[in-house]
Amino acid sequence: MRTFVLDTVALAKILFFPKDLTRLGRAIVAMAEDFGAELVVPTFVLVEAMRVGQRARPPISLEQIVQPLMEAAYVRIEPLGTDQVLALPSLAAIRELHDRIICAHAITNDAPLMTTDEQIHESGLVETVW
Amino acid sequence: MSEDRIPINEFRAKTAEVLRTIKETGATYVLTSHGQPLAEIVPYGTPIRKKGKSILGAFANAGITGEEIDSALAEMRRENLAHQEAREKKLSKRLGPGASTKGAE
Repeated sequence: MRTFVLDTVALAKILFFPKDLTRLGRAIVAMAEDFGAELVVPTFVLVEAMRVGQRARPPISLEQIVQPLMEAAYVRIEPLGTDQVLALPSLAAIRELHDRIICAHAITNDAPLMTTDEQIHESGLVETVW
Repeated sequence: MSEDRIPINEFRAKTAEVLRTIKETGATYVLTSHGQPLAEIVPYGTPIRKKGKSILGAFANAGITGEEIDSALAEMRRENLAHQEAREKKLSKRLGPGASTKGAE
């Protein structure tokens, strides 16, 4: 089974505005729904997704955002652990710490990162899909 | 693949015909009792696992557009970078001259 790590944009688009996903992005989610793939959501992505929920009308709480993720057996919410922290120095070329943390989850899962971030893609440090 | 509904009484009478149709066309039948679905007859080897609960568009009616999502996250990214740089400066000051926190922080 393939594993894909979601960054904040990917999670937000999947939940709030799937029209912005590419055909590949929708296929990855469909594959996961058929239990052919696992979607990993770093806990830090949830923290950032809170900001998107605040922009909704009416606002959507973090608890509401987390609920469908907890109910989907193919989604794994992954806390930041020592393994990810140990991967951070190899990601120094990525400027923002939060992006490095999310990339560290992709590295420790040996999985592509679903992201639109050009800097991450161009760094070549992790495989990216969109 | 088609899916036909067939009352259980009719299925009893046409079992051989229904099974032949399934074999030849890969059709799926839903057996009904008093009009309500009771069971499915599917070709051998059909995965019986159902789809997982979908998260796609779970909040599609939340009144937020793709552009608003991009804007919210871009704003947060700028704030994150500003906080990060401020914290790096603060740590460097506290750790003394020559200390670098870049990459670690």
